[in-house]
Amino acid sequence: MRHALLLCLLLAPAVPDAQEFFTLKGHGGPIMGIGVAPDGQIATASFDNSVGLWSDGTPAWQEGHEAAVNAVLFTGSGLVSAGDDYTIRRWPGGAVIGAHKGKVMGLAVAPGLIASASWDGTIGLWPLDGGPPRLLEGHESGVNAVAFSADHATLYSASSDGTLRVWDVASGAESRMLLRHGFGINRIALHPDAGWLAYGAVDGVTRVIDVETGAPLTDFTLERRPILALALSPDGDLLAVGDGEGYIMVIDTATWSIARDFRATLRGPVWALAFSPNGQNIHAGGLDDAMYSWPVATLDEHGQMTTGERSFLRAPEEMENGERQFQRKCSICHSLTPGSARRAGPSLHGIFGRPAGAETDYLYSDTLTNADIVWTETSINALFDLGPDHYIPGSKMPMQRITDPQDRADLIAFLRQATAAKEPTE
Amino acid sequence: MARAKFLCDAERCIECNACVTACKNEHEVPWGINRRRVVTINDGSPGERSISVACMHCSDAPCMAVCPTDCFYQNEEGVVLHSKDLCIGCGYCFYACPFGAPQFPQAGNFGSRGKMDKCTFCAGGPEENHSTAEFAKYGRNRIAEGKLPICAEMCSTKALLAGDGDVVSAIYRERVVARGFGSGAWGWGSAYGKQDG
Repeated sequence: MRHALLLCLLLAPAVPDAQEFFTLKGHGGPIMGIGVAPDGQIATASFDNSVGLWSDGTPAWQEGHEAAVNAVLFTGSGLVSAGDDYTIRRWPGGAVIGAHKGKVMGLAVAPGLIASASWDGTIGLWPLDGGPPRLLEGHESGVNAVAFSADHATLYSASSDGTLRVWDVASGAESRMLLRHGFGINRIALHPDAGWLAYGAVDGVTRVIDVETGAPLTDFTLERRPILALALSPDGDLLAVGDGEGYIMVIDTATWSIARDFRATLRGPVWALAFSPNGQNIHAGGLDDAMYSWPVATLDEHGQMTTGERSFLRAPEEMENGERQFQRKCSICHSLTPGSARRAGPSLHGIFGRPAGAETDYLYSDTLTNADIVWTETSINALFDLGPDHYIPGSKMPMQRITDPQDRADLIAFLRQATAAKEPTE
Repeated sequence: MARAKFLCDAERCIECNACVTACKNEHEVPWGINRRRVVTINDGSPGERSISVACMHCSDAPCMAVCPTDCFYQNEEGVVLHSKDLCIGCGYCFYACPFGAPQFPQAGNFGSRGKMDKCTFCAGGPEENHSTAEFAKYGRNRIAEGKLPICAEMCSTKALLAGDGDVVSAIYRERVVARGFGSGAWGWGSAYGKQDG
């Protein structure tokens, strides 16, 4: 039933009006990837382990990834996403269609086939019909991005080894090295017909090259680094570039001139970019929990990503030690109020006396679902004394030891008060 | 020290890897992690050059901009340090660093990675100077001992220089004048900006 509803959502047109500024709010962490369907429907991938499928500004959450989700795209018949849990999942349902041995940073789709770029140094080719997968080896470091040619016979890949490589999809063989840039290449955008490819690198280089020869055609490198996002409008007329300093630059590909340049974030990077189908809006993700969409024509006339007052960025001197421990080390993933607030971890409200794995709105790992642990001062103290990787190995919790007994005691005292408080503290 | 900087003179580096070994030994860096490495380009061909690469402690460090937990800080000498208590091993800094400096042990529950580890310019971390906790997490704090980074101290050809940026660049400038060419300070502009270089 849930899948049927989701299919309806996938099929229903859900296009926020183009040429309007809007935000999509609901995630509990930064937006790392954005996918746009031909009808304009938006899917977002987030640090909060979720994929959001948006209709009229309302999300349908796709839960299943066990760590941050980095990339999401529409396949024509559904959604595919990939993340830090090494997996590539298909939605609705979240079935794992492929798994790497490192985080997956990029995806591309061809008819019946998904390509994935992984930091295990390989490119995965995963048939959507369940056929045997293939792993393409050749890069000397993590692979960050992949793109299919217009006829889907050729695959282009970019890696932190500083190279762009070309692969024959049918044989899986590396055809040639298109470019050796030196510094790691983070993103690529391939024009399907015009014969050029844009790449963005960790040293801030934004360059457009001939896909056959690798010869440079034009260069838009500014004093901004690293390049973290590239997006090509569906008609190929506009190329958007997002960087670590929070700028979005829009390039007119007909004249190879900068059409717009906008400081999109008050703080932090632009992680993700995607155009609306008509190319009139640019959707962006960054450190903020919300996705922002600006009309390209009036890009700088609307607000910037606010990022707000993030709890983990509060000045340490404003807080007692116990609260400081929580805000700086725990609050990016845990809320103190009822409900997980879509963070990467469950709410801590009412934690004392609660069995592990008991919050109903959070998708726990098997480790915690099956754990015979009740959260008490003793068990929380042990959790941070030993570290989650030893106390609850296999959980989603990052390695996080608090070695000073006084810090642990102060944190527990703060949690005692804050998780039972009638008035939430955040 | 005014502004701490590294400079690797590619004309002098002989790929001996003493800097790599000295770093691992000084800080007892675990197996699988290299805070410093030597990269050779055009290996075996005319124009071969080697450079010793680690965190350059950039002026406008991109790792600091992209960290979702704000675990980085820059000390008064400009050395970029981080708190392993706050790091969640997400790997975003690796994605942002032009020098490939952030290293991750394959031990974490969160995705793939444990706490990030990188060169500290031998300046320790946020723990108390010379404490056991500081050494265990970040290695030896030679700066607090009044010393310079061990990698540069051990460099037999003095290809790798570390210290006050003005002094380091003055030494390099003198070399360039003496030998008549100077295309060797790889990464300097990228790390510190052209105006500083």
